[in-house]
Amino acid sequence: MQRNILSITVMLGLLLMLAITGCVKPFDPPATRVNYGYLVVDGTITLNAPTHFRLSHTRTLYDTSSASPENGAVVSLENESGMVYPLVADGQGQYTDMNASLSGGQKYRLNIQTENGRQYRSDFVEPKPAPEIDSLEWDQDDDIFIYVNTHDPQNQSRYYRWEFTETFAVHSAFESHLDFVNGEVVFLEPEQYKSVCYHTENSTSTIVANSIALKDDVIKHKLLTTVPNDNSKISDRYSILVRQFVLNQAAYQYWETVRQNSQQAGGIFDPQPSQLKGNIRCLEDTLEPVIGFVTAGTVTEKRMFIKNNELKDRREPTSSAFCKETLIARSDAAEYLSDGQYLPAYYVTNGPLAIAPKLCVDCTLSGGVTQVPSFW
Amino acid sequence: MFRLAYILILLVSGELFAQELPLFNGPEYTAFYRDAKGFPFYASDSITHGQVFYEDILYDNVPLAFNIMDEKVYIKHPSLGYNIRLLNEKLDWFTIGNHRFAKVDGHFYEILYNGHVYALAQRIKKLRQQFRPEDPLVFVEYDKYFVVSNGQLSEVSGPRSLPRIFSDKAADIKKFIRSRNLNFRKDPEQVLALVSEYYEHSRSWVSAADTLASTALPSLVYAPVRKKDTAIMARTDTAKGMQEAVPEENPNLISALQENRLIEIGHKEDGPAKSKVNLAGYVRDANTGEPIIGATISSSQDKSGVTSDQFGYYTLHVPAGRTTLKITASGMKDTKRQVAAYIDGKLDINMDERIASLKAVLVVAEKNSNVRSTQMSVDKLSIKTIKQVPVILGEADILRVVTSLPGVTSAGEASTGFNVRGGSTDQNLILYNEATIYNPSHVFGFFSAFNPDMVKGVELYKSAIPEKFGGRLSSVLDVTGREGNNKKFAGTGGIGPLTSKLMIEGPLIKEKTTFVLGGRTTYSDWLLRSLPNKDYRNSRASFYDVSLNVTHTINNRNSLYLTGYISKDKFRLNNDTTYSYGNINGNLKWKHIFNNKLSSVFTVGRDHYDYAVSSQANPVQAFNLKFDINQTHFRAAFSYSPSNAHSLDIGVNSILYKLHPGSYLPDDPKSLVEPRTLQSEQALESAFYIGDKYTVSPKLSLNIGLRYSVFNYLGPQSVNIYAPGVPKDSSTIQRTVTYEKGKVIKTYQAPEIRLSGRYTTGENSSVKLSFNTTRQYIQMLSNTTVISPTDTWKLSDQDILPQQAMQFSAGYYRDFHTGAIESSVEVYYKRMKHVLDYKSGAQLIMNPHIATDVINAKGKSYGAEFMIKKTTGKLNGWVSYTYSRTMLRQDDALAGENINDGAYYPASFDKPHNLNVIANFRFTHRISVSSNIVYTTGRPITIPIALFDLGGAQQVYYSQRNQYRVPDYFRADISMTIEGNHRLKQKTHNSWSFGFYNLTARKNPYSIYFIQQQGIVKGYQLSIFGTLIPFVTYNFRF
Repeated sequence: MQRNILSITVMLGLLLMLAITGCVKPFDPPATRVNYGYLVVDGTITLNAPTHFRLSHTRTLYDTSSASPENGAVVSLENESGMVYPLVADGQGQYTDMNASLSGGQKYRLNIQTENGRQYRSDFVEPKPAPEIDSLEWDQDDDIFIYVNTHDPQNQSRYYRWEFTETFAVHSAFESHLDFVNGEVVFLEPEQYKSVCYHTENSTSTIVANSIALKDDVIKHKLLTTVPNDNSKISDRYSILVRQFVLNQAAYQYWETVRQNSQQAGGIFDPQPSQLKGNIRCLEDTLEPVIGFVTAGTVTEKRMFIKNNELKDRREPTSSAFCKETLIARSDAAEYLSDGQYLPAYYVTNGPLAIAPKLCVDCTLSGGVTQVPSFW
Repeated sequence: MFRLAYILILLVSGELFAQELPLFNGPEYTAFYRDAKGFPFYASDSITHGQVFYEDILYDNVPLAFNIMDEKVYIKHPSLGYNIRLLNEKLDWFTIGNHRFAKVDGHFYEILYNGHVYALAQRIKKLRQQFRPEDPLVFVEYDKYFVVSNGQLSEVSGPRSLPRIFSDKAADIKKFIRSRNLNFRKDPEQVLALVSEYYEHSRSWVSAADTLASTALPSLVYAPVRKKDTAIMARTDTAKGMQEAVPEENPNLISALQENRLIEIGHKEDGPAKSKVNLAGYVRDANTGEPIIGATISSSQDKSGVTSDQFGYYTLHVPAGRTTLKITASGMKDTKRQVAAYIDGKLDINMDERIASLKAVLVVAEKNSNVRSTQMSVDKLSIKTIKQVPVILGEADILRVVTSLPGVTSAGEASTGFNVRGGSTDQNLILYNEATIYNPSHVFGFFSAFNPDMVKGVELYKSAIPEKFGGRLSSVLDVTGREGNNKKFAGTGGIGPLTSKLMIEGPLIKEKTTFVLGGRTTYSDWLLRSLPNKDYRNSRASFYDVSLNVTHTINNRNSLYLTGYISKDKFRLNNDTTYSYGNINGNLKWKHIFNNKLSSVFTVGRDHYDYAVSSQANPVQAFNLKFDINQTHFRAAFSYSPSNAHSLDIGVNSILYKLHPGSYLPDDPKSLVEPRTLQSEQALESAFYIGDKYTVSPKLSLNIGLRYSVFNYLGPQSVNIYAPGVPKDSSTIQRTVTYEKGKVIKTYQAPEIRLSGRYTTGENSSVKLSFNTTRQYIQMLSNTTVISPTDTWKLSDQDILPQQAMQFSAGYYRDFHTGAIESSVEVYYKRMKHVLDYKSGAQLIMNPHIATDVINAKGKSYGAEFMIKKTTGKLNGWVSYTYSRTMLRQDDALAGENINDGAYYPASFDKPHNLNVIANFRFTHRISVSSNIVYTTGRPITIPIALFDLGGAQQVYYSQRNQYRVPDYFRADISMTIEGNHRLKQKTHNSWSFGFYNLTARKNPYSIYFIQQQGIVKGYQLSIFGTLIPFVTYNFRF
């Protein structure tokens, strides 16, 4: 809570400067093109679900690729009594413990041997059970705000971290039952329609909170995410699955530092960006930075749905303006469609064929799947 | 002729100054009356020596003769044979032997008696033809007698004239003449003198002014007077009475009269002759009665000078007998006093403000204060200088000008904290009339919290900090408030786009009690309301500051000074979080003068600083966070000047601290905030100091100072004891020990050494060296770059050691063009110990065990400062360049982390190159232009150097601490001030200033920051005032 004071101060400072003649322009940091390639360990030792760890390396600021995964590592969990649980690599940098039966009474650590033979090891960590999420709620002030509420009757948890996964249905501008296959316009079976898609996105920000300053271990109305009013996420139905973890103080500090470094560092009223000090070390070179903080515990989940007709003053995404159909003679279909930029939308009864840009017809082209999720 | 006259001067009197040439500029006298019998001169026809008061300047020991025939005075140098006639209109009075002549209505009379009435004799000589035409002419001599009373010059033609002239006491006078058997015809001069004296004592006189006003014969009044009944305390030099006597249009006459009048203190015949006597008194502004601080008073015999203290008080030892005092002070016209001192005495000196003249500016050698001053690394700025520097929004800003001095840097434009020679912002002791100001800024540093109308000047000590100051490592910024005008009521005001200010001053009891009261406030809400972003429209920002200084003179030996200061800031962000902070200070000083050699100042006062943050936005989390510091201080300071060679400062001071490090309370009935209050902290910081300013020889002077400070950290307090040998952590607290109220928990004590010396290497140059050590027992907890309103202060305790510093500096000073241009080079090397740095993610607010979050660091800084300053002329200002480095290094094995792997890293205010140019050009009396150019290296920052994915988001990995820099800073400003006309009789005086801030519209980075939005990292550069900003301010004075 006290941290907010500083962060608000930042805004204050900014505000005042802007108030006069402040001006913000992009700044490209001095070239730092050295690829350090420090190991990044991302994951949680989870007792009540499969444990996933994702290993990757840091990349330069100018590297737009999403990841540089560490694929050939040997990864295992180890408890205090020396029991080892190997994790299985998927070839994408992801390491999973499929069938481990981890118990809450033990401390665990993570052992890694990377492809180039370097050994890494985390401290032993004590699993922290996560209390149930009490509720998820949302409200709207033009944009939509989504909050989490939770509490721990034992007052044991105190430090929380959340991740979430959003799933939402998106309709293409035209509900087309047609397709263009082998130079011909054909009718599709209903299960082949590509006018409704389901998108799944994982949270991309670090969300942590604590109840240290409160008498009771209560988190109320913690903002998880904001959905802009005109975002296509809520053009039909929106769902959010929130996963809750409990951290110890050191891990909380780590995540908080990560959050601060990424989200607000550099302002003049800000603290200096802090060096990340995780609980994983390279055994050959203890000074080598290793990013990540291994924690253990259970995870609790909760899902919430929002239907777009529950919203007020919903604005259409601006992109829909570009979806205009063009009428062509049915016989000209091949001529217009063969380059793949357009798709057939519908036939005008006894008339021409309406075609439209393919993104307006096939929703899978925007990254969704037509498969209806099981929880829908 | 000029050259000859010049030589004459040198021969005639060693005391005459070069600019006093006019005496010898009269017509050359050629002929005597060769054929006549006798001589036309008074008393004898040989040259005698006497004093001449010519063109408002007093010349002593001039060989002269008074030709009574044509009523002219001739001066002569025997060896050269020239005789020069003085022009009567320029000659006010002169003496020949014991005879004193003064001019009344164009004629010279000898003064027989002076008091409230004057008895005068007119000496007359005429050439008479003898009985036979071939006989030579003879000089016939006779006298006429006059009395000046009630402004009337009346001739005394016979014994009956006297009762007629003194008509109100006619009967008494007749009786007196009869009883004494006085015979006017027989001895007219004695009778005249006796009767005048009798009349003088037979009636009462309202005041000196009473006579002077009625006399209307100024030259009489200032003629030298020999009093038989000289008091022990001699007459003082106040302008009292003179102003009434002299027409107001001619203030120059007053000062000229003051400068040339011989002030006798004691009398030659008074008791045994001492070789040295002591003068003491106050130096004041003649116009307002305000004391002048730092005025240099030196005597012509030995060049050693003294400077006036913060009350304008000085003590000077001079050789007994005739001496000329030279008095110089910045912003004031140089002046001098002719003194004949035979006993210790009091001499108050009034100085006139220097009015910039368009004509040839007189440059005098006394100005080279920088070369001569025994102090080192001190920058003195008068408020006049400060007001000339163009600033944003047209509001003169003291701290902004301070940051343009060599060796001083600041983090950015809208930040008030400043760094002196590699010290952090909390290492500056900021004093306003001895009150400690913890937060000297308004609105997060946009304005400094000192009202320029209430400030007389500032002094910044960067090294060689005088031993009387202590408690901070890097510098002392001594802001001196003004004292009110003790003669009349006056005021000033100013209206700017965001702030307005008003100041009034005047005597409460004339010449005894004065006050000055000033205030400023803002009305910036309109600006916030007009912002396009609705989030800001509901925000409110306000501040005010008020200060009051009252001075009361009890008597010659006792004065009281009261200072009160309040500043308050309040800021609310969008109906949500409210921030407020403020200072409240008050103190009372009593200056007591034991005798000329020993004086003392006792001060009691209280300083308070607090801030509060509250939020009601979310009822469940509604809170109110508060912090405050209170300190009660007592100081006793004694100054003892046994001789000019030694000036001792001895004193004790003591500060009792009480800090409330924080309370965090629910601010809504629904709030679940757990009320938490950190234990208060208390401590006593005491110091004893002794220092001697020792003038070994005119070339060498030393300041030797020792300060012994003791710090007691006091109960009540519960103290955490950490397990030894492991990093301090909330989990390594072994036990908690409770101390009772007043129990000493921890004591730190150590001597602090303050040494400096000056060696004059030539007429216009000197070398200075200094070494000093300082300690600091209270530190600001801040891991931000600038002072932020939520920075808390922490006393040293059992875990947090006092900060220590040691600095060595050396400087070379040289003046050019007899002081018109001052130049200096200073180098320094400084080491610091126990400087605080912070662990990553340290929590500084509401932390009950702050020791677990701090890291002990070591620091070193070094640099070279160059400055060239032109103090006089149409064009004045300064250029300063500083090269400096400041490096820190973690010095804490138990920190639990290792910043930059234990290597030195640049402090966040390390800016190697710093160039400042401040220039003022006065076109006419009414129009002046000022400009300001700043260049600095960008400050160091820690920047992201790599990306990684964690927790589903792209994150940034930062470089080692402060390995990169923001782009360099450059800015040029210009402003023009147009004064209203200078007529004296107007009710108000107005001035307009307008100008441009950031002429080149350069977008200087104030801050660089990186924000991760939707998984993408973007770097931004924020510039405040990143464009050309015009401003206008209107000031008025009444």
